[in-house]
Amino acid sequence: MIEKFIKERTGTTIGEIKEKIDEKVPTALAREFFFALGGIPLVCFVIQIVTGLILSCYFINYSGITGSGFSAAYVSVKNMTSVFPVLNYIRGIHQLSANIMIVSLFLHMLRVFFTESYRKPRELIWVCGMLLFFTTFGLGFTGYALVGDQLSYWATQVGTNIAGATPFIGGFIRKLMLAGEEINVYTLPRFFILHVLVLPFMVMIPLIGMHLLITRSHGISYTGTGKTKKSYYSLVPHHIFNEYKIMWVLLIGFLAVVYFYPPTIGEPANSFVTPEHIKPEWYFYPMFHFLKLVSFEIGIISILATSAIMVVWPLVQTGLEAVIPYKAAKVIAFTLGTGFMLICIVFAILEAIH
Amino acid sequence: MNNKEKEGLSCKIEPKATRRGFFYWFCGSLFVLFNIGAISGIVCCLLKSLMPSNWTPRSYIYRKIYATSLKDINVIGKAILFQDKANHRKAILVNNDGVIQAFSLVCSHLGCQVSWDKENREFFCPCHRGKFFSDGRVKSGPPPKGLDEYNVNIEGDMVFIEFKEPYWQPEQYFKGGYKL
Repeated sequence: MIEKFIKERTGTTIGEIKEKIDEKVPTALAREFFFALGGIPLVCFVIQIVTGLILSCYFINYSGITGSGFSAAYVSVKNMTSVFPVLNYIRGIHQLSANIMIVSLFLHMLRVFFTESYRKPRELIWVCGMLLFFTTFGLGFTGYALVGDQLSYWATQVGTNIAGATPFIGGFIRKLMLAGEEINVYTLPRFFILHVLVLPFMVMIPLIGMHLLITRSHGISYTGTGKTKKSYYSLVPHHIFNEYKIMWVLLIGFLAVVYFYPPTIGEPANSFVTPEHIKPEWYFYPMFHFLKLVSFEIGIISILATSAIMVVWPLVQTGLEAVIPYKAAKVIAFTLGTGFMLICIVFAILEAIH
Repeated sequence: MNNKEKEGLSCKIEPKATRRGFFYWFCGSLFVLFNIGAISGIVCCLLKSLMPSNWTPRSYIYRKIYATSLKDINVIGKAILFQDKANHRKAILVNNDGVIQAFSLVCSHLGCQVSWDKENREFFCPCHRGKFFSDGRVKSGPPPKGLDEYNVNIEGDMVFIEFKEPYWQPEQYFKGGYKL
């Protein structure tokens, strides 16, 4: 009866929708951890949106000083962290799932790179994926810029100056981000809008849609490790149910971690003092350390060039194959990928211990 | 079939240029130009609305602020930190062999605050380990240029620093006394 009701009013039934959505996905997605990494960032993103919605109800988007002597934004985050019940957990889950999202994206990217799943005709899936990776960094950066503590303030200062050093359009981007020549009361609302609207809803969701649609049209590449016999299972309901299970595992894991390691907040922002041992979030360590080692121009141009090459890597490799033998291009890709990954890890470790 | 016959067969009938065709082409071009102009205008207005520092005639303004008395800084090698937290002003006055100089404490690399190392008489940036000599030049590290120097004016016993500040300072709208 319900089915008839829906059919008469929408012209379709749940069974028909299932048939349209359903497709065959490799069994490796259910059996091998490295093949299931694409779903984890998506689950984290959903968790981020739900927890973010609640946090935004209590966040005061004003960096002016209140009667307590601290900025309104800082006081509101401090209240969430140590005064209001439950919000501490929600903030902790929001923070932790952002970190797990970056880790899983990085591992997913490594799996795709080293199994060469980005080869023709899947180049655009890689391009969308890399743009998603950098957008996630942007979300992380704009997220911790909202807290109103010392790390927030100086991350905003350093981050906008890095953006300002982009050739030709840097000055314009910096002014646009800061709402002026320097950090002022109108800077925080811009970061807030970027964090809650522009990056997640206007950039991330369309990119996720494109990433999934193109993946669907080409099918998931089956470059398995050989551990799982080549076979397929259904997306709806089996794979979706697997992702649902992953969501619960993540949520319970996050809750457990937040229970033992609740989120903290640093000293309130002070534009007159840069703390002695200031460091950004861990995922910016490689870049932060690299900027210590080289001159300013070389540092900025190298970071921009590396990011651009990463985004269009499948096309670069195809271009290489036009001039050098296929196997040589493959060796170059493997060497560059391994080298880059090792450099990032070494820089991150060096930054962490210094 | 000879070549002449082939040419005859492959010959195409050119479309005749008509007044109606020209009118459509002309109106279409005007429509496209109008749309480009209108959209560009709207985009420019939107961008201008997002760039408040461009609403003012200039980006920066110079303000002469009293910093200290001459006798306090008139000792070779002495450095005095000047802070005006209410107005976000900060600078350091250094007496370099009798020459009194004022420097911005904003690192020229990525904008962190440098600190004055009394013992080594140098500036140190904690963000990327940049170091500057007491006269503001780069000593080591990644900074691309020295610290910004402010003009120092000495009038009698008073030392003034000429601060370079953004012309548009939105904080003023949130302080008491501003009338809407």
